[in-house]
Amino acid sequence: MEKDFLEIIDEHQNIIYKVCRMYRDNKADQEDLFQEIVLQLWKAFPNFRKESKVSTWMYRIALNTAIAVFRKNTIPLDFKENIPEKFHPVEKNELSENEERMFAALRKLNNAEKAIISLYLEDYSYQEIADIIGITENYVGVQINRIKNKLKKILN
Amino acid sequence: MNLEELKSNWEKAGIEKKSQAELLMMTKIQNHPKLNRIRLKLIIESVLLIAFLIVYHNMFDGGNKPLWANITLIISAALFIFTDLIGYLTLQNPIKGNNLRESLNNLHLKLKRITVFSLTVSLLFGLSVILFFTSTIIFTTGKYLILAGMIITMFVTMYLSYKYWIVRINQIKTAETEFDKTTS
Repeated sequence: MEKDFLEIIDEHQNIIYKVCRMYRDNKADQEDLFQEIVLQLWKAFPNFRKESKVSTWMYRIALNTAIAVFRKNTIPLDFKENIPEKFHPVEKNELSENEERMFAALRKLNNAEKAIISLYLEDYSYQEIADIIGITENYVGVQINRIKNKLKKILN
Repeated sequence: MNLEELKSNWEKAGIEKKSQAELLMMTKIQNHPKLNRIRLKLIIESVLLIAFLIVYHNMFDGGNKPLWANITLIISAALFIFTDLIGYLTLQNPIKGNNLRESLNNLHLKLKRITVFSLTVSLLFGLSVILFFTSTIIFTTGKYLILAGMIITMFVTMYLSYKYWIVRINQIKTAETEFDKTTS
């Protein structure tokens, strides 16, 4: 079971990475959350029946963990309303400037908006998003348009 | 950056990879700093309380105190350990529900129940300790001052316990409100 689990997580670990980057604004908190999500996935793995896609199961647990796990309030790193065109990451890594700008923009959304837009960006259908979040399919469409407009404003 | 670029960046994100050995380490609770701290607190409190229950009868003349004071003390100490354990298990397993909203609602309810239970048990334990030590005592001014100190300590402990849980409840409440606003 351990081997299967590690292979699945290894293959799809970019899901955890993206959720961590979106829900936490500094490297240390992102690392903590990554660890927390892996632990929750490991605990949930024996009940994973493979009726849904692995990625759907992982998103469900990862988003849930990111929102539910307690975190101490930290001072936000960026108070600006808009993301500057040229954003220089403080942390030393080889991530692209665009990726950094994207996550900075996504972090300005609230917990629910982050969850909905991440599933949308991952090409989930409205029905799948509705099932994961626990809302009706109609709301998903309305909300995605609203969040897209909000993101446009943040990015421009 | 427009939305198309955003989508394309999203698809490309996640180049940093962890090894399977690192992932394996993350599945062990003992390698988990936050849960480990809570577990350590639970172990220390439990060991101290169990040690107290083992020695209290001889050290604090349990045999000379009324039977009801002894029983109340033992039951409330056991409840204290039980509450700690329930709290730890809840924080360790925050996900329970078929979807995000249901899971948050369940966690909110659980945390509220634990807060009430934890405060009640703290009060019960504090009172039972005070009753045990004062059940056969002849009060003097000095002893009244010690009693006042014990009562103050009990309420400070209860306040800290309340604060510990309420920040967690508020975080979940905020998330629930965001989901409610976003979906209505």
